[in-house]
Amino acid sequence: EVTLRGVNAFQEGTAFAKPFEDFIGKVNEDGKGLIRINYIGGPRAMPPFEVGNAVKTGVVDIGNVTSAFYTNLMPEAESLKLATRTIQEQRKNGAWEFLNDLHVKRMNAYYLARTGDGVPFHLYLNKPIDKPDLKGLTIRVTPIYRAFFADLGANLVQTAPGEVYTALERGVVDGYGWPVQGIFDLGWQERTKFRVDPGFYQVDVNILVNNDVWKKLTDEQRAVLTKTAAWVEERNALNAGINAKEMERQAAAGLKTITFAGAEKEQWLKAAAEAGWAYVKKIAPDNADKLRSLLAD
Amino acid sequence: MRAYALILDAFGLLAGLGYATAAAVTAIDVVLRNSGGDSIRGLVDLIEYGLFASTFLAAPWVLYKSAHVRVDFVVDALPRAARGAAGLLTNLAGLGIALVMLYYSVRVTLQAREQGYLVLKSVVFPEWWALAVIPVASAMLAVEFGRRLFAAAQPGGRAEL
Amino acid sequence: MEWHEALILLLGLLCGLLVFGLPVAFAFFAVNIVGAVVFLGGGPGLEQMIRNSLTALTNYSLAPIPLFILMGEILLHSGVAFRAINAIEKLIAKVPGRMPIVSVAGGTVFAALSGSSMANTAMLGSALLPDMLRKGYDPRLAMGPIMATGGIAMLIPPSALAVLLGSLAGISISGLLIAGILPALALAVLFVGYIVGRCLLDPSLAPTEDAPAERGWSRILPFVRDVLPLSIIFLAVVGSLVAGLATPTESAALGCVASAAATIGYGSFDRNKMTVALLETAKVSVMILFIIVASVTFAQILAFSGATDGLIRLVTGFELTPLAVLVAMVLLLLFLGCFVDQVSMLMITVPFFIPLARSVGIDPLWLGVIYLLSMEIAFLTPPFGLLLFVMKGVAPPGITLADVYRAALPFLLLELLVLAAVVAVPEFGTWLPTQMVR
Ligand code: NA
Ligand code: NA
Repeated sequence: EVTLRGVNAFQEGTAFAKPFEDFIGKVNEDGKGLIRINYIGGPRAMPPFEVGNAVKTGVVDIGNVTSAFYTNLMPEAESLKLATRTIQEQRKNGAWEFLNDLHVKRMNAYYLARTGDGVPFHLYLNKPIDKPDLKGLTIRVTPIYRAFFADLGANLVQTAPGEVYTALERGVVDGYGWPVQGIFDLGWQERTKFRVDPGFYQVDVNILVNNDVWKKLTDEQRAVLTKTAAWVEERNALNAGINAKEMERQAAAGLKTITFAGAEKEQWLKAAAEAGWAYVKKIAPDNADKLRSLLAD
Repeated sequence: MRAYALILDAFGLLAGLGYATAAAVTAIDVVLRNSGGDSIRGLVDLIEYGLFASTFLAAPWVLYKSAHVRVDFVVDALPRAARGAAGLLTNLAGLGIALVMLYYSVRVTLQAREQGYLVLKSVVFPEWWALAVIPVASAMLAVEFGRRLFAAAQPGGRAEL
Repeated sequence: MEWHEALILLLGLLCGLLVFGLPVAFAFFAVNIVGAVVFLGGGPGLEQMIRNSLTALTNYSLAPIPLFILMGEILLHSGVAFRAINAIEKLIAKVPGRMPIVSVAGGTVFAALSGSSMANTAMLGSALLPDMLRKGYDPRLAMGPIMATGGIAMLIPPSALAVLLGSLAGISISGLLIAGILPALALAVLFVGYIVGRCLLDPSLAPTEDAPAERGWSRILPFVRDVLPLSIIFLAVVGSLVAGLATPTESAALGCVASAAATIGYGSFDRNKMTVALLETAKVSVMILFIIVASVTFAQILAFSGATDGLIRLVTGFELTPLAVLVAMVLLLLFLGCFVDQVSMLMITVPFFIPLARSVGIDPLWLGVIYLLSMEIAFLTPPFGLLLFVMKGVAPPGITLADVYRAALPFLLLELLVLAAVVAVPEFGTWLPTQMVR
């Protein structure tokens, strides 16, 4: 039996940590006597932005991390959130293979699974807007949203996660970008008035295995991981239901929706995609076009 | 020796000036934002990396000034000879720690450089620019621990920390 | 290696190095190096340790630490703080133990302007102690209030240690800054009550011929001129925080600007003095932040070795009530506080206490206030108490460290009383922030 050390870039028990925790549970059950994952924990065990590097160097064997946390090692990772195809489609059309080669080459990591498919990002606001224009609004961003919101004229600020609640309450920021799932983990719903629909991009939370470890596993051990990866990826289909529940919960917490339709919806989504791909082109000029053709239409 | 002290002092003063500048620019940023203007681009990143660089680069100066907090009540209670031995041991340990940090920080910096790691924040720059601060600081720490060790080994010298 | 063996190895090595007098930051580095070799796989682990130090410090929520310290150093070295203390001295008269009460009042005012307990104690000690001893106050009654009130500086915003705690433990920094105010004011009142009571019981402790010569307006004028305008600085920090104009880092920056403006306003802005203020700020800030370099790797090694989970399983296995767990935490903090500095107290305990508090359901803000009070107490507990050392440093040659310990003792007991009150009645610590911050 081989034991892999696993860490999570997300706080244990929160929305984007759970699929990996379920994955570990199933591997440890199905792989009894063959393979076991020792779950060391979340950010207290590894700074989120170091999980990618730790998988690369073998300090951990398997990690759960969003691409936004390892773009420093692999700029092409910026494109993962821009995918419009599901991971199952990506496995069929060669996108997964191309991305796996990049992961192996840039960060010595086997791209085992992608969760978060079908979970869009949204703009959350405390001031209403009536068209896709953010001029005059101060928005808290992470690198995921920077290019898009900047293109729409927003005034961008970075705020430490622990300060966002206070910043919202005091009006230091007028809004923030976040996935449709997860704001309840942070308590931000208490200080948020609007969610802008539709969502844009989609969350990618990836399970990566150190490639040296991957190569050393026996075929049976790899089969357990691959089968469980397929299982956890199939569960991405559950996200639609989880999203709907989350939206109900947000409504119950008093969040109103600002919905763009027709031409405005087109403009909103196009601005998001173009800003995202323009940034990929800027930081990964060689592979940007190929990635776009594989991941999006 | 005077030049050495001057260089270390300069890093201390630089750290202090850095804090004062950060305060002034952040205050301007607050005023700008609350009067409807834009935030200063990249200010948060600049402060974060400034905090990192100033801490590492001024740490050897703090060591030189014997201002790193330490638990001294046990050592102070020891007889003179034992106190000297403890001083030698701790300076030797410090030198070892600084050399380990130097070796691995050089490796990490070179790796980041060779592989082209980027910091992708509101400004984009090679990660090794930031990492390179650590080997510089570690080398200065090693020199300072070495100086203390040497001073303590002189006849009549005192192993201070 | 079993988790308890790992724990003994890591903490044992740390204690050994500390006892030999290795500076705290380097003791943590040494433990991290050994831990990286044993638990993180050697070379890659050591490289991870280096990268972690970048992560540990490129953290915007740590930025208020140097800025809060800078505020106090500007006021201290420009002489503005001394003028304020003198003005307060003129105001207070006809009470038993007048000068020690001046220490408490002046120290509490300066606590609202300075983020560093060490600077506060040094300032009060050099401003008031020689005068008190010359006038014939009992040395213990002269030194005790200065040290005790120095500690209050870390409870009342601005506070560098509250920021550090919030940032390491993931507790709301604004909440913690506000939460310290009530316990601090309670402490100040208790200190004054104790001084008055002591002097009534034993008049020989304080001289009788001891009242300012000024009468009427000339008694009040210095207060109006030298103290009241300084409230702008407190307003810049706490007002901007509560009114929603600024985050903690930004409020610290506004506080620095306000301090500099006050210094210019009093005509005390002097390049040499400001250089000293900058150097002192750098010295203290770098000392604190350089220990923080080790924080990420230290917590990481505790997690990888299984020590964190093992200890938490052990404690939760006893099925104690949250209150019992909290009391155990307090006792451990107080014990640690006797031997190490405040930053090390946080570094050693936060990786265990925060997940433990989460798993048994202890309100993080409540735990935060208890942390602050325990750290304040640790300033005064022998053998290793930083404010005791500062006081010894500014006291005249005849005073021994034992005198200093004895002077602190009654005030230490009052602080324990307030700590017990917060443990018994959580709202004592958490009510104000929930009113003002949420
Ligand atoms: Na204070
Ligand atoms: Na102590």
